[in-house]
Amino acid sequence: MAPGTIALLAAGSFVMGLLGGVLGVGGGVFLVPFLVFAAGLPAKQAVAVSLCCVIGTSAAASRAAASTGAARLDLALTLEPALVIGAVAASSVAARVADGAVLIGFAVLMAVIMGLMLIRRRATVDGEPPPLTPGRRVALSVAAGASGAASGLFGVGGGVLVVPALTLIGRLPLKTAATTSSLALMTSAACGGMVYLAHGLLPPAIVAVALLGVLPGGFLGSRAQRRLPEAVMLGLFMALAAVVIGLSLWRGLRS
Amino acid sequence: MTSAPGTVVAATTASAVAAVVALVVLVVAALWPSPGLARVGLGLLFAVPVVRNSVVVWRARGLERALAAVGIVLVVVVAAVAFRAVLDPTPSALPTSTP
Repeated sequence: MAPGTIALLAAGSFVMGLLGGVLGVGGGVFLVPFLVFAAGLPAKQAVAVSLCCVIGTSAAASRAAASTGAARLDLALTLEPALVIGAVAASSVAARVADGAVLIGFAVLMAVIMGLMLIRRRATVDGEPPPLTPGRRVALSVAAGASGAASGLFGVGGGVLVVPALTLIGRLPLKTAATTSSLALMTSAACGGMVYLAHGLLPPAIVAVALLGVLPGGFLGSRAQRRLPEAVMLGLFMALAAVVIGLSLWRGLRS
Repeated sequence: MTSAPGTVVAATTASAVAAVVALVVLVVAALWPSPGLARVGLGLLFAVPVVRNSVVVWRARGLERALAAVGIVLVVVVAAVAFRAVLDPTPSALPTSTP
């Protein structure tokens, strides 16, 4: 790789990690569009690189969350098999479809995330969560399977879908849901990434540079998040998501 | 069933250390291009959840330990299939193209 390319990739990944951390949606949501539209990577390789970055950010975020005592490792381990099955099945399909279809699907996912961001504030639960009934565990596993599929298809962490599921179905407080999601997503991202690797869609040099940017960016973004008003965060996310949807549809429909 | 805080901290610390080691190997492989080292780096990165779950298996008891073991088995099965395809000498499974 040329030094200029390395600098662009590292700086861009840092900014995307920062944005993902500030907006609480994880780095993948913005990293995939950056790798496709700015760095010129094919969509499926961008998804694969993003999944590898999710492993790193998830490891860092879950270590930070463990200190707070809010993370539910038991629940994360319960969701793991469904997340892995969803991610492996979806990435096996995604590795075989055209890049344009992946981009159109990404635009649809961004629209869903926009809707979830709007309802996320209402999903906050106060006080001690009720015990998880078997029915709720099954419903959570189904939601985890869908989140794993979204992760495997589009390279996003899946937390944008797991967190609402944990708050709405599991009735967990938002902080516990977010930290539990960080713990759970690492395994599905690893399995999804390995499927792309098996299909020859994972460039290790780009993974290294992207990880170098995303990790510090995500860390700083999470710290900055506490200082930003929620209305500003929501407005910023909606504006960026609208741009990403427009670009993804434009490129997806043309290819 | 809620995890002991010590188990969560130990498991997440181990996974964070594994991720840092993987990143270092990947960076070295990117600076001095070597497909073998790149595969090792990716293997280490994909092993991060295995490291975490191994600590849980070691320190936890009961259902939590069983769930962690299931997670390890899932990752190992997917890894066996994926790396068999990568190590197949016919097609190169590690693209070297740059944007």
